[in-house]
Amino acid sequence: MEFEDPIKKFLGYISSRKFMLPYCGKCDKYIYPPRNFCPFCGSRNLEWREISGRGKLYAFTTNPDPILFPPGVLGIVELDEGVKVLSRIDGKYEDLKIGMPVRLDFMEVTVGREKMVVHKFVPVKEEGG
Amino acid sequence: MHENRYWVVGILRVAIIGAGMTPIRRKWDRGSRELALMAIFEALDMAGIGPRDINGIFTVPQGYIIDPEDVDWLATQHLGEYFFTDTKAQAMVEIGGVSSLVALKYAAFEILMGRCNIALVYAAEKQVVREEWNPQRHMYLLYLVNGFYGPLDKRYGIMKPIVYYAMITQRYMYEYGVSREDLAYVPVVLRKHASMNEKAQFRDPITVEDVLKSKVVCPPLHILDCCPTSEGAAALILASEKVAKDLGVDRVYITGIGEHHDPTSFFPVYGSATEFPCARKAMEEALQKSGRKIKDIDVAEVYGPFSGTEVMLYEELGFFRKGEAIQAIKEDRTTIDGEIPINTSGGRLSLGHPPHVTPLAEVYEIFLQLTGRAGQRQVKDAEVGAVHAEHGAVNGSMVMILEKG
Ligand SMILES: [Zn+2]
Repeated sequence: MEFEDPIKKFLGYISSRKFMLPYCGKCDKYIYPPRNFCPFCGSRNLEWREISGRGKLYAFTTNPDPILFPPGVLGIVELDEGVKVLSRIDGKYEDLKIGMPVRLDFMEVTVGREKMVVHKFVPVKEEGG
Repeated sequence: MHENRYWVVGILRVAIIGAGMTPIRRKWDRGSRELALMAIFEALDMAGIGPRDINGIFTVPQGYIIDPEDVDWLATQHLGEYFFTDTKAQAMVEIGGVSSLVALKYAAFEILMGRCNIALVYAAEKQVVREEWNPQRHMYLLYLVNGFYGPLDKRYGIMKPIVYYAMITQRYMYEYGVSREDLAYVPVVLRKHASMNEKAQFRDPITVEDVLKSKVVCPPLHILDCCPTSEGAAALILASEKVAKDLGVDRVYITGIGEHHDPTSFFPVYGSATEFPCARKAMEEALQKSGRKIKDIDVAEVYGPFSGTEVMLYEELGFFRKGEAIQAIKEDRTTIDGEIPINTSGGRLSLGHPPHVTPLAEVYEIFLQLTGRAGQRQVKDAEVGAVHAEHGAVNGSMVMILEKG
């Protein structure tokens, strides 16, 4: 059977600085990690959609082994689309807070031997706060 | 219920008749095979049998961060030859932190099926430590361990699961109002237990202040909240109920096994990171199979590699209600004379944590407790024990119920 690896496709989008996810219209769910079927209803009729880029900081820590990746904060971001993703987070650990709004951005980095683009999230100053 | 009990008593009843374990240390001047044999012969002597009585050999890999010279993918074949024994089953099992408990399950099933009557389950773990690091020889290990975190997360250079455990802990503290100081009681209590265990890696008492002053490794976790790097070996001898009775040795029965793996890897994309359904389900299944209730458990070993998850697991396994375990720990209700003694060995934080050995080290502790061999840390009248192990960042769990024979 022909199989297009959805992870490769996702990473291809990331390298062109686009965060796209498979979306199931039947369930109204975004799928992460990207799959070739909807884990909720089994449908293979998925559509790749670009995410809004908005989310909230769910949890975070600092990189204890900055060997393959530069030092800094790593966090789990809960996207407005209802999925949680691991990401690099801009800012100092001390200045970040659980629940803080964050927005999508990208960075170029050398991981081990390979140069690549990865997504990151940047804290958003709350309006009127 | 009655029917289930009959099924369990009639069928799921495999005896552990011997157990051995090396002291757990950061570094041993012996290879994995030598460590294994130390533990195996201790277990054989306890069971009063010889190596040629074994007709099944079950083990796990010798670790992940291991020097090529210590790796032996055919360890069971080599051991079978060394023991000069014909075997009906051999296997090396791998699924992260639960590996050796799965090896134990497989061995128990071979005995239940009547294919083996005396089986050896063992694990020996070695680690390349910092001062041994040789980039030419060991560089591949960096990519090997990075690969555990899957094609997406590994791009952030993750090398150890502590990243996820730290975030899970931070989120748990936030949701349940647990303070940094509260958490520091966990390593203190475990160290108190380890001070009575001559095989533990760390035995000097520590205070809450020591924990809070220790180096931050991965916030909110300090170094004293973390399991150390460890080496060691453990071994168990299993037998059918009939063989155990014929031998007339002290025995502990495996009366319930529960296993569950959540459809997650390191953190749940859709669910809550502060809940471990796999641990809850594994415990429920193990209790149901043994016809026991959580209140029947007299002593338990829990696979908590970090202080935060230790507390969360006490709750998810059902010993305490959600958000209440830390208070119980602070009130010494999990110590040797407490309402439910947990990790009397010193736990992963103080006994030490060679992950492939840990589940068998936990069974070793419960075996000692249920056969009255735990010395200074003996839990009075202990008859029913539980062992828990997990893999990932608690993405899968196994529980075994053990009962005095
Ligand atoms: Zn669907």
